[in-house]
Amino acid sequence: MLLDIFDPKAPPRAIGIDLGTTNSIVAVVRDERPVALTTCDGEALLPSIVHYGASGSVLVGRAARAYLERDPGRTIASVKRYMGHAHADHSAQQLTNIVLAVPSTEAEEKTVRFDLGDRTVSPVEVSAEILRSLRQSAVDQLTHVGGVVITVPAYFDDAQRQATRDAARLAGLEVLRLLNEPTAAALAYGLEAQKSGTFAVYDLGGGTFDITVLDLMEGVFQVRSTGGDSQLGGDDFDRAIAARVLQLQGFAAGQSPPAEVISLALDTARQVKHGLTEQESVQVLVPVRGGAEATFTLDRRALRELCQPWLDRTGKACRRALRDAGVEPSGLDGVVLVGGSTRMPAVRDFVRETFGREPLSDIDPDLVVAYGAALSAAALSGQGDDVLLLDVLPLSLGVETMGGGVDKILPRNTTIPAGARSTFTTYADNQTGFEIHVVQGERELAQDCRSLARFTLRGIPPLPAGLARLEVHFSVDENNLLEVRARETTTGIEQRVEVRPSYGLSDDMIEDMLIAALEYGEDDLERRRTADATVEARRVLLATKKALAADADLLEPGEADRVQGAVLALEQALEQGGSASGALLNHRVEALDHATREWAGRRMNRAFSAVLAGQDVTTVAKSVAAARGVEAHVEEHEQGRQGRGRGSE
Amino acid sequence: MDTPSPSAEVRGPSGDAFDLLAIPPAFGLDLAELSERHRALSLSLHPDRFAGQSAAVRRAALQKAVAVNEAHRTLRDPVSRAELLAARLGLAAPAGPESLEFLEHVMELREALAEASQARDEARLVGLIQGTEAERDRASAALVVLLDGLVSGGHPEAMNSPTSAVFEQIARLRYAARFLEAARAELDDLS
Repeated sequence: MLLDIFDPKAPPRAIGIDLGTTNSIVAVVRDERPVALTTCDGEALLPSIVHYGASGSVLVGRAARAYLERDPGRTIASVKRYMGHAHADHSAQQLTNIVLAVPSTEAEEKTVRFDLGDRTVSPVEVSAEILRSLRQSAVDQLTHVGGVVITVPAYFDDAQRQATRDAARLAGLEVLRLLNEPTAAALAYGLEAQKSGTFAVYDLGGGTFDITVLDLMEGVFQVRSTGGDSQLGGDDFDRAIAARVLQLQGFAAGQSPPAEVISLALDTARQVKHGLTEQESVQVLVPVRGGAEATFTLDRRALRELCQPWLDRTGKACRRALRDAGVEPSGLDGVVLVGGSTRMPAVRDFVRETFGREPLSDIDPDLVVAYGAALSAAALSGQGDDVLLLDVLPLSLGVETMGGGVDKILPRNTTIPAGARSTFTTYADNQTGFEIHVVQGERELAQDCRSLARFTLRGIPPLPAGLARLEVHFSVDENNLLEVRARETTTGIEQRVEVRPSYGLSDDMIEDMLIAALEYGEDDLERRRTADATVEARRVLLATKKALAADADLLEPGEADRVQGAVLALEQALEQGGSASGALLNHRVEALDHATREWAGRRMNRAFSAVLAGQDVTTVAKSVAAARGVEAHVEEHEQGRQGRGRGSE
Repeated sequence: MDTPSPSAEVRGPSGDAFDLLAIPPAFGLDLAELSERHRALSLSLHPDRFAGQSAAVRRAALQKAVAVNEAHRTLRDPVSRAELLAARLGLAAPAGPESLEFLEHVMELREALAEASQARDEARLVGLIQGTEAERDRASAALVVLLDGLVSGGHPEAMNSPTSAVFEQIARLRYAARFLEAARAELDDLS
């Protein structure tokens, strides 16, 4: 096992986590190279399986996998497939040992829950157990763990992303970024394997498929298009093989055998699938009804035929992504394979046929995403390579129109951060309210897309139909979070909504789970918040002082005094310290933020003009360097905090 | 409300997409130069470059990056680029429907597309796509002459009904883009 030499002054290390359907991995950048950390199983790959014991114990990884056959009803695998989903999304359950809880209220219908017999758990809680285990491994090996970059399939929608964020919060992790898996893989290839040019990343995991086309250039990695299917992966192959096994065992198609039998058949299917990666043909003995045994045989060709329907679906997504990117397969510089399922010869053959070239797998397809996450975490916390990722919106964002159609305001594959507006009008005389229904997806009817939010703009003056002008403005920030503003332009009535997709678990519910998970409950949470507020206060203070040194000439008369006043007030609050200072610090940080807002805009304009004038290297590098300087101070503080307050770890 | 509106906050080099990116207004753009400008600005102003800074700075960077991305999107797409140029030149879209001849052509193409996809006739689909690509290229070439002629000082009066010609070519371009998207999607479904 690799261990860092204990150094009490070591800064907190940002980590990257690949939270996979089948396996999860935590990685860190060490001596400028990404390395996977050893998990509780003693290996890099932690099976994404959680077992809930009847006594209340929770097991993760290989220990949990041992219960898949013994106690299938209390053992959850492939939880990623359920993230952010409503009960109805899984009501037509495929071959699985998981038992879903029957929802009893409308609120419960919005999020799928697993029935463990004596209680139920949500996918968010199950994922949080996996993340908690990985975090503990990181803490054991790195001492001070900083922020985390967690990877998600590019094709995850907003609800699935929010569920992942909530799981991280429950596990006590500070999320720096949710990074798209293929982008992470490309980052690893670009930085580690020194590739440059236009690449396609074919990412087939246990439960999700993504295809991304991107340009890798010096200093900038720009995604051109992305597509995929968040419900397609190696699990589907397993189920197809398992269905054959069950048939041989004497279960007719459509019949549902006991959970133990299904678990065993799925396990056999996985063995067969893995065996066919090395061998041309695999034979296994399976028990049949009446106590006898039968031989199950499968060869590569039969496996390819079984997988073909899913492979064709990936092929269609690939063609669309290439078209969206405006690239022919021959115009690519390479095709990168990512995800455990791309080890299968059937998948490699398919990729070779689709793209007309031999795919690359220089970096271990199981680890490449985690490596990319670690590299991104290092870059975002100022500890790594200086590379910028320009990612895109995976799914179109729009507004429902009269008649149930969709007006796409931001189409898929728009570079983020992004903003766009569209104008609507009233459809009835004297209409004073206007409902705005925000949807995500490519389908033509709003009811076929995912509903993100509904809100009503009220107080529109009574006018004949078609006269009021409603301007709806969408903006998506670098974290893929959407804000929607609506304004009636004749009166100026405006409403802003930050769209937090709801998938059934409210903020309060997550908060309650968080408190329940902490050893000292609310007190612990309060202490953590105060510590976070102190770090943020020092960061802002330092950044402001550096800005004053560089750009004080841009302050307007009177503004300088307000900024100085806010700086002093924040410094005083920091000196006071004490347990109740968290709220005060946040308040003063906000006041300073407010005082510097317009000045910050002018500073950005100065930097902007400098780039246009061709002086980008000097001016902007200076401000980035300033940001990096801030990090060092924050780290120093962070250490003190971790050294004092983390007795329980 | 005491928060200033975003436009008041970050008004710097103001104006439209051409002004913002400091790209000389023209329909026949050097797209490589446009991409390079976008990349240089992103590299300096993307919010990730200000990860350690205060919220005010990150917000200002975010707004700039959003504006740069939006301008890039507008100029990269030939239809929105042509519309923006027409607006800059003060050309007003003529009221009333497109020419009857053009509408008939559109209907014929739509029918042909529906027939070809129903019959799963790949060769015919490819033919329709190639034909429409040629139409798109002709409309583009016409707009380079018309719009860039006007930008470089030609007077609308001096040309033979240029305003309606500009908008007719924009309509052709827009239609071709939509048709190609639909036809290529059909082709994907076939293979």
